[in-house]
Amino acid sequence: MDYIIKTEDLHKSFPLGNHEILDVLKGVNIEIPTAKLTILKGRSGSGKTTLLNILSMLDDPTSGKVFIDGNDIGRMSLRQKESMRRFNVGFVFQSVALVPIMSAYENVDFALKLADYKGDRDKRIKDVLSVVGLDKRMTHMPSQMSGGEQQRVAIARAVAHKPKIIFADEPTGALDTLTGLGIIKLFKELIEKEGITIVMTTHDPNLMAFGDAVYEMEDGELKYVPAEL
Amino acid sequence: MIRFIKYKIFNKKWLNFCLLTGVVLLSAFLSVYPMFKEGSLNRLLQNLFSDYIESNTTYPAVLTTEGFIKGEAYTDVDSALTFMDSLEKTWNSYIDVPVIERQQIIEINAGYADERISLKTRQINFGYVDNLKDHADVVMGVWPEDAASLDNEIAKEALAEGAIPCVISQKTYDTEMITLGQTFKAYASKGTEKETFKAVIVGIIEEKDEESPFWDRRLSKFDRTLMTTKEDFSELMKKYQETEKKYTEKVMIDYTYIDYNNAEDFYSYIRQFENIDKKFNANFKTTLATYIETKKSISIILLTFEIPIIALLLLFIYMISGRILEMETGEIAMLKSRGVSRFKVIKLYILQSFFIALVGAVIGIPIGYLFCKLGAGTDAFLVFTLKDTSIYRPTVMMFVFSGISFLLSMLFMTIPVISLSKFTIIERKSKKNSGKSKAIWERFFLDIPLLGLSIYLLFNYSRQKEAISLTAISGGQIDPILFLDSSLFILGCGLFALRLTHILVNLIYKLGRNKWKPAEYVAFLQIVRNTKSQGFISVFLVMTIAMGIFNSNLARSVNENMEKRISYNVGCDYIFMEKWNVTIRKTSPISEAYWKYHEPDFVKYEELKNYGVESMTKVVSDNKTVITYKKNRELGCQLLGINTKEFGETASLQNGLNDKHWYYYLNELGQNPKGVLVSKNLADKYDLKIGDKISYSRFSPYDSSKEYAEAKAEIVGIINAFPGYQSSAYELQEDSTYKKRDNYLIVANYNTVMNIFDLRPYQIWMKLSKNADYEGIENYFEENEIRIIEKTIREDLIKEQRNSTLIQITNGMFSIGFIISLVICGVGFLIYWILTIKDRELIYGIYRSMGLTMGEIFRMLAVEQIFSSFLACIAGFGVGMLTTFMFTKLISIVYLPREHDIPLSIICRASDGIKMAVIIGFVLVLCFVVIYRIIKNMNITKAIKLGED
Repeated sequence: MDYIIKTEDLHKSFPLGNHEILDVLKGVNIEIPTAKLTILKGRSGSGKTTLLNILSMLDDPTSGKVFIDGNDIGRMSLRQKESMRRFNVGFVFQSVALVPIMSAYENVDFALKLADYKGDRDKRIKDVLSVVGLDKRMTHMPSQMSGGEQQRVAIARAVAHKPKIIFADEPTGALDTLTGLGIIKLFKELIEKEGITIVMTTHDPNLMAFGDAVYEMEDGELKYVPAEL
Repeated sequence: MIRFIKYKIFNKKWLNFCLLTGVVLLSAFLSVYPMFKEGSLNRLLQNLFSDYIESNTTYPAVLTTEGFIKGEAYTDVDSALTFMDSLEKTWNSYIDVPVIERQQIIEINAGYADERISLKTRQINFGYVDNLKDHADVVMGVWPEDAASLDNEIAKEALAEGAIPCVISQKTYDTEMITLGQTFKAYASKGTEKETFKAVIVGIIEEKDEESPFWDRRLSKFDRTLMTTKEDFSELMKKYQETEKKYTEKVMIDYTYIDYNNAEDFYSYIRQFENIDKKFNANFKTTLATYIETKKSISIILLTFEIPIIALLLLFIYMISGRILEMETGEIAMLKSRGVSRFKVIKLYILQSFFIALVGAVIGIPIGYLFCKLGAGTDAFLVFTLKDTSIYRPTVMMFVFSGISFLLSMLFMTIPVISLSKFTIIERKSKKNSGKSKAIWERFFLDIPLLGLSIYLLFNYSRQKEAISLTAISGGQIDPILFLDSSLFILGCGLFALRLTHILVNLIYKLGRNKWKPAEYVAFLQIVRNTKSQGFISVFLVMTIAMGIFNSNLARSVNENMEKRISYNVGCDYIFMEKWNVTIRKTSPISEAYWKYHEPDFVKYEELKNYGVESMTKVVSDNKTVITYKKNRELGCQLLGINTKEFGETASLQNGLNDKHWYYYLNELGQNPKGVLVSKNLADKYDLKIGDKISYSRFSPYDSSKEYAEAKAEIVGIINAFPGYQSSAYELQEDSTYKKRDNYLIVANYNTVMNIFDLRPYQIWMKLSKNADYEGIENYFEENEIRIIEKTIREDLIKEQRNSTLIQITNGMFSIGFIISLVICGVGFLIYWILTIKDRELIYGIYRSMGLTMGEIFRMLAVEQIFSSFLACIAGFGVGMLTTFMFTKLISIVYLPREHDIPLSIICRASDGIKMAVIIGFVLVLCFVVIYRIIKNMNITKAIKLGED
């Protein structure tokens, strides 16, 4: 199996004041398979979002290494990391995080502009919005859409520029179970159609079955959960 | 509840601090009004009194009455004085102002004297002036008390025969041919008997100090009056017991006690006194009437200057209060969800507003006091000086106006609550995020009718220029809408300009929608989709800058035009005339008296060069010259007799007023001794051309009805303008209106004028260096006992004008208003952007997570600033300039109503724009630095996390 991301002994600590330090990640080693859905599960405060932030280059580890496509991101400059995020990475957050002044179409278009998409932008926007089932609501503003619809626009935006990896932090956290399941199915479809690697965090046990690889974070340590379990 | 309000206020301390700033400024600016108004009106009143002194050369606050007394009750001076004192006491019981001097006169018409006192009449008077010796000097002879010591045989003889020793005025001595020791035989009737007695002249007197308040009736007005001692006059009163004696009571009150608070009461008392006593007269009645008329006008103009700034401040309070409430919508919704009624929510905010408004109103009063002092100390727009502003005193009305600010602040802080408390949190969010709503004015096109109305009013006022100018000249009430119209235009045009900038930005965005890079794309979208939230700050910027530009240009135009006109009217830096001695040879008849003036030593003025005098020249100036052309005679023309070379070096005239440089005309005149320059209005009236022959004549200095000599002349130049010459003047008509009339000028060579019309007193014109010592010049005159009878100092006139009420309130209020608008604009701008950036923290986190670099984020902000704030600044500047060109000349008429040879010009100084650009640029840079720090320190994951919360 190919692994797009690999870590070596990742540590992350936060100072708490009074000279105390909170160790959030305690030597995490993880391998993320390419073009698969990897799920990080765990209780609140277990460190899964911190791990996701480090894997997605939004945050730096205190120690340890992260390799993406074989490149040590610790050796990359800020600009290289920004470039990596811009062209090869997509994000989906729990807080829907669409740009409120842009319509669904414009939110997706913005991601394409950022990634300097060379193809037919209009066709691509319509395609991805069609994949997430919003081709009829392209001109709607975020405030005119439901939470689930907004999250689907966020997913369309995350995949539009054909990134290698999508990081999704609790993408179904604010949605009802049925809508949440719809989002996961969408992820699976995208992996199949676009060959994208998706790493998502969740604490919803109902979704575990959909993961190609499932890891559990517990008190800063990672535990692989075999798929059949 | 109080604790909750305290928590709410301190929870958003910076925003509430801004709100408090707005409330404090509102209270300060409103409380400036009564203090500034009272101070300005007090200054106006004092200026009117000063003007009176200047034009009448007598004390400006004198209560006078006169009448006749006779009979046994008044057989001596003391009984008459006691009666006169009782009159003063009656006045004082109403007008309780310190008396600084009194002139009490008793006169007896003594009928015909047997000596020929003059050719016209033999009438003589006996007079008594109380305290005369304290106020007059004997210039020849002695006082009657010292008559025994007089070295004059004729007088001694007369005194020995029991003649009453008397003094007469210099004027009587000069004109009536009376000599020292001259004796008069007078007759006093007692029943059928006639008592004959003698009076002898023992002294000639003149005023110690002509300018003393005592001399309301000067000695020159005691024609043919023989003045004597109290004792002798008491004897005369007994002799003339059956004759009516005229008393004149003059009380000089301290006019500095007449002020804003009591001027109208005094006016009313004066009118009551006049009704009771037909002979009563107060020489300051007209001054008070002018003051009362001008007071209304000044009060209204001052208010019209305040209104735009007050509107801006209320808008500011509304904006900040609305912003705070917007951030507290969650709290409001929470309170409502817990069952708190809408009324209770409003009550909570009313109470919160009450505290802020109260604190602001109280702090505003001392700040208002400082603003007033600052404004009163201005000499021009934003030029603050340390000049004496003690006439501007705090007043009780400041508390009343502060109270009004308290109520207004509360109202404007509470209005947004009423609308916000209607919505649930969901409705509010959806409304807020819709991103499509435009500001009310933009949606309902309010800018168009505002602009239309202001242009219509401008058009109307422009047609009434003549009437406005005549109203201003007569001190009448100026329509306040004239001033407000410019503010209305700024508002209408400012909003319209903003509409245009929105259209422009939209166009730029649409044209390059597919070409813009991400940073520019987002920035444009942000402006295009967010016009409403940026609306307030843009309106602020446009209004502040436009008002600042217009006010500074208007103030500068008024100030500089005024200074130019004064300089032109005077013609040089300093003009004076020394009192000349004159010898009059009395021949018979008197009308043919021969006079000879003695020219003072001119060389002594050379000393003045030590005090900064660069050049000086003699100038003959006569406003009663008669010009004759063929059979036409033009009376009352102005004659200037000049030495062309020296005059050219001393006087000044701005370029462009004549067809050629004015030196050209001086050269033409200098080459032809008989040549004259005439004013264009005279040439037009009589169709005069260069080469035409005219003649001009002057009146005899001792008989203003008789022309003295005539000069033949040839016209060598026709001029529009000349130093010291105004081609028109305004005359007061019987119906109290003013009418313009032409002034005609003739300029001749000094030597020609002197040769033909004999030596007569001339003016001395001087050009001074920039650092001239004016005080030194005054001291030189004093130390060398040079008696100056006429003096015009350009600098003094300019200073006086700067202190004139209207100019002072304009410079003061515009300067304070501008500072206030800059403060609120700066604070508002900073707060708006900081809150905006805080609001967008999640969005910036998303942009950063998507790979937007820091550089791009700043570019995005820069583009947003350029196309919203900077464009608004440019629009403000444009609107300010447009308003300047449309309104300055019209409004300047109020300040400079008289038609003048120096046409009104619009003065725009780049330095004003630069000053403002520096201040606004500083605020923009400060804002950018603050935003930069916020974004630089932004942690992406934290920002996103915040968004989730």
